[in-house]
Amino acid sequence: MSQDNGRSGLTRRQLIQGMGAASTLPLLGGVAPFAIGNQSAGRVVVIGGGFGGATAAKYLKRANPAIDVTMVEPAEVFYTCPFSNLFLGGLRELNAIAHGYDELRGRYGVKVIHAMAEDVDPDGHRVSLSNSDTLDYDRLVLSPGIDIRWDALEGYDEAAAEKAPHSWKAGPQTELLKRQLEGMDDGGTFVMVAPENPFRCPPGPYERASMVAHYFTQHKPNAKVLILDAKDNFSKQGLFTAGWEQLYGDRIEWVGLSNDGRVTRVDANNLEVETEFGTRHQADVLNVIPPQKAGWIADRAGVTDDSGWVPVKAETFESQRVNDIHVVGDATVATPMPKSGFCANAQAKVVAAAIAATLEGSTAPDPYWANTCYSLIGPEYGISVAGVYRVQDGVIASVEGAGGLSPTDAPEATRALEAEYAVGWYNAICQDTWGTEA
Amino acid sequence: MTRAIQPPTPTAWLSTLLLSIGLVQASLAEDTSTDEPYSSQQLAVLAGNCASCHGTDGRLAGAVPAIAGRPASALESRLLSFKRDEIADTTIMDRIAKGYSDEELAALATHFASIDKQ
Amino acid sequence: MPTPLPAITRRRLIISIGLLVISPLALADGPWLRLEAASNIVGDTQPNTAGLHLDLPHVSEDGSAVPLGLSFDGTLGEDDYLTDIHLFATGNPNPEIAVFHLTPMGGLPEISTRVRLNETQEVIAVARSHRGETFATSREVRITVSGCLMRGNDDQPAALSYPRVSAPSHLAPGEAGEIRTLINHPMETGLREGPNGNTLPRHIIEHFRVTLAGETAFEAELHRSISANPYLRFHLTPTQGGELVIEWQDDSGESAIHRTAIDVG
Repeated sequence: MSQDNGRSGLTRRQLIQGMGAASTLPLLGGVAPFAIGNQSAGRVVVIGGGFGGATAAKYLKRANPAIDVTMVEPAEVFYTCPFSNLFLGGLRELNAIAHGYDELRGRYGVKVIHAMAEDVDPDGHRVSLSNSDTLDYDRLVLSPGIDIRWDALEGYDEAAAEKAPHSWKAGPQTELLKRQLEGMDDGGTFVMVAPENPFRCPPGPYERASMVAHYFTQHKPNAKVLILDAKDNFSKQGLFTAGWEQLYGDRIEWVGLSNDGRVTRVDANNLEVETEFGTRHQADVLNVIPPQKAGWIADRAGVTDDSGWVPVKAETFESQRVNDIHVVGDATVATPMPKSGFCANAQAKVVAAAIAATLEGSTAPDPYWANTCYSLIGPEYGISVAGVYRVQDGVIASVEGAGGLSPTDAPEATRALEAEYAVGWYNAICQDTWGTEA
Repeated sequence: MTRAIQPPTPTAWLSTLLLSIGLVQASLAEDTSTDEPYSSQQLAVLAGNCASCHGTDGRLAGAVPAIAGRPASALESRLLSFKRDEIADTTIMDRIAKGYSDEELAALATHFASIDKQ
Repeated sequence: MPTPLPAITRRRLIISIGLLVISPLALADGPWLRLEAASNIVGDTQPNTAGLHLDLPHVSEDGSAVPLGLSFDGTLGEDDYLTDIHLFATGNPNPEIAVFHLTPMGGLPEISTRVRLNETQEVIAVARSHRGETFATSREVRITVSGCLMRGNDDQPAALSYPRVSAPSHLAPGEAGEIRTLINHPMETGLREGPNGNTLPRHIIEHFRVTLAGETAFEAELHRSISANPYLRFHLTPTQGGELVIEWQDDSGESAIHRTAIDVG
């Protein structure tokens, strides 16, 4: 059998497929170097242009500009979930969380295709797009974020989300919720349904409650916030609870799982929800954050498991199930790393380094990750939780003694500093990902 | 670590498989030694997380200070002080610095010192 | 020209067949044999490893309340039914989690609760039937602590307060009804230190009993690996209706009772 290392006409894979052994290369456990003369150093397709995808594309080009990088993202403008709560709270305009792809194209030479990836053929190493084009890859990076599990909450389907938005993917859903809040009568109740673990952005719902409470304090002083939670514990709970009391008195009420907080049925037409033990709550504005799963393209690629999320190998974030596909961000099972934009960006950099090394036939570097989740309880009241992670005994582990929460009982000045650093973080990570500051 | 494994002959597959596992384990043990300097690719990964707050290559100045082009000794001393809880009013860097060894912090300091401020 | 089966594919076949040979051997030597409390239940029988299912997350960030589901789709004789299901947490200070006692009224053996898991470990379930059949299964759960779930102060609920029950008011004959129950209770393990350094004494609900029209329908023995504010979901397939009485009793001798009615017809 002849070995073809070049890129002419038939790809190496097509030749081997013709001989009936489609998956030979993955079985060998490595990839032979591809750089021949002035031809590309390998083709990488990235699906998703968010914190994970855009970072992967940029850092692949930084590692080796000769790698052919194509990124597929339906949106021409990406709205970040981080800081979308600040828009709801009236602290930012929507364009302050909007980011474009000019720098990725112009400065880094990433091919950006605004289409939807519809299918992945892992054996054929091919992605099919909604514009009928196909893309061949040597390595595929999936960063598809989350999709809502429409089957999980009785009565909550896509039509229901137009009346009781989840706003857990930023953009039109966020705008819808904002309009509803603005149109609400003073004295009304904003009801938020919070899901069980795991879900995108553990502190997110509680920052949202804070920001809405801030907005109410300014514009609708008799309005209330009710959180119905499918959990008994949530991220930074002690800090949030203390902050809510300090800033908002009794405006925010939280009902946990063990106090019948778990919602099992939604009536979006009447903005009413029912809990596990039959208690009904009427909302004036209803925000349902439902159970989630990995973005559906992950199913098509065959990388999800029965939990609906993507298990990955710790060192390289390669799929545990399918060769040559790496997955980053919210879609993955990367516990103890939380589902955050910071983590997606961190994981993408490690993946870019791993792929760049593999394509040139060298050993991938050891991975290092960190995470900091900032939450604004008020405009000058910031809190954070951090973690530093590495691989220990083959799994991702939190480095002991590092990370942790903002201190309880910290002075106002500390909270104000953290609120400032939150903005600094947001600007830096957006610059690092898309090259744009807010 | 990715490692290209040579295809074993059909009759000797079991012993080759076991040998490969042994080789991989041996190489992993070697790689935990801190005697070798960090490769530029390894440094890039080590420094990658800093960009989320300090900007790509640590160049972004804002509420969070830029770190590119600052003297290595100053950066190293600052990082070690963060790690040892020696700086008052620290909000986050103590929690982050404690996740790295002194050698890693020194390598990070040298790395960012060598980057042009722009 | 015919293409011979490439060497690589042949090798894959040999490896896969090899794995198939290994797997049944691993199952027969189940983790229930290595835990005395579990092997005592099994006794001399060779438990069936199919039929009994444990539903647990592969990974849980919070070991204090891991959702656990039990279900059964095995084959039992005409007049046979499961009588008891035992749960064990192999990595906890005391492995016993709970024992569920089922009656002929427990037609659909589908049970859910929330458990405490100390660390990454294997959870075992062993079941026995009226006619002496045994079933066993196990699942490994990885427990990590996600930094994002670090908590502040816990608010201790008052023991045995706010019993809540969701039960059908009407069932057709032979129809299985889902019953969910929840009650506030700290389920204090007796292993924790209080704020002043003293060990907080053990205080848990030990017994859960359900009667329908005066007959015992379902019972559970709870141990300290059941999470605070115990949640129990189970099914009944009653032949006749009547008053449904649910009673929780804790180790201080206190109890709470909730009454409702189910009508069958």
